[in-house]
Amino acid sequence: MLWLIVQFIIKYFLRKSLIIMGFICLILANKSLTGQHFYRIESDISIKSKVQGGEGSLTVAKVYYDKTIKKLVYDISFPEREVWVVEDSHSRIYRDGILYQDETGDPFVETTLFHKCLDGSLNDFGLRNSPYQIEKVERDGNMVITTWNPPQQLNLGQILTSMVNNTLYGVIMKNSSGNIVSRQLYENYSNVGGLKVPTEITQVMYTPDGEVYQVITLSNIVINSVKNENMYNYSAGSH
Amino acid sequence: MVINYQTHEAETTVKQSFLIDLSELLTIILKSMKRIILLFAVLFYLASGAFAGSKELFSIDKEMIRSELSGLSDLENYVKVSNATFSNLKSENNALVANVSGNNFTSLTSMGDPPLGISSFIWGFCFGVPGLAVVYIVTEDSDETKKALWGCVAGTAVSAIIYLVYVNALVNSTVYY
Repeated sequence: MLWLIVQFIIKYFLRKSLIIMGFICLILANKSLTGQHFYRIESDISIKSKVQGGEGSLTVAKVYYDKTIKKLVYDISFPEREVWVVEDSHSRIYRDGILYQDETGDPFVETTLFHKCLDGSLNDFGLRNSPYQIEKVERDGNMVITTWNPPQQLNLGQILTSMVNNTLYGVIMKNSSGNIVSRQLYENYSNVGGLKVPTEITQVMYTPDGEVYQVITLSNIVINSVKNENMYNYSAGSH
Repeated sequence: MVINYQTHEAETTVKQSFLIDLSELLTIILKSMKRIILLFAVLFYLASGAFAGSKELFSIDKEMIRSELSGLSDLENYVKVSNATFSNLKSENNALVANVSGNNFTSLTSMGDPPLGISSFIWGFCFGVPGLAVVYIVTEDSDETKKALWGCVAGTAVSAIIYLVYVNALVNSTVYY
């Protein structure tokens, strides 16, 4: 009889402790899932641009961005080997590790594609926190199109953004007359460690001089890398 | 008994006429339903036709762009393998750089126009950081971005002044009872 009681007590506490353990595991798993923090991105990048009937330009580089220190580094290999570092109020150009040019202004790295990708604000093109107001949201097949109206007091045009599969697909800018002045497509998203990054951005701008085409391609994307510290913390002579 | 028979016959007649009325009513309802369904189908078709135009706005002739940038793609492939710079290729009179500028992001900076023809300063002044983003993304021009940055600073300063004036006015207009 006594043995039965002891057995019951042991089983009771064992069951209870298992339940508590289960809860703890659930809490920890949830914390690790929701607490996923994207703070670094590096990628090969190429920017091809051409004015219709005019000269083209090509930039080939490797880009490093650290969100925590807000430092953006372009290690350019073409057209000429140089390193661009954008940090705080400075935009610096280094050639052979020596500071070649230093311009100052307000920091703007937070407005770049890389920052927006890391902090998840790319989907609305930053318009949600701007004076633009949503006029309508419509669905066309798998595309959700949002029309953004500018403030009435300003003579600006509408901006249309579209999302496919909960990711930004396109941005259209119009002038105040309702004519399209720019089309951008964000495509071929790559899922890198749970972060969606567009690997091809195509842009057409409609100007009085003709159309301007630009294709930005990202490849070999790495998230939260702990390698290449010298590039993430680039300074004169560090490379 | 006769009376009962007559009553039963009358009841049957009433029932039959009720059933006829009911069937007629159902027929009318079904006919109306048909019309309503048809009307909805037509409306849906028209509406989907209207939306189709919105999706079309987001299409770009990528084949044409690929063809326009094919020379640059060839150059990109060559550069990635050879590690050559623009000056190297230019000194060799390489045909790949025949119609290529040696500057970074030149195509957009060469336009020299701010986004939507609106001053970059205004973009920064009125929209702050998102305005700055628009200028930076659209123009890729450091000068235009700089103007937008100054606009952003000026806008912030003006907002701060207005806020201080407003707070001051509030403090001065406080009524004590």
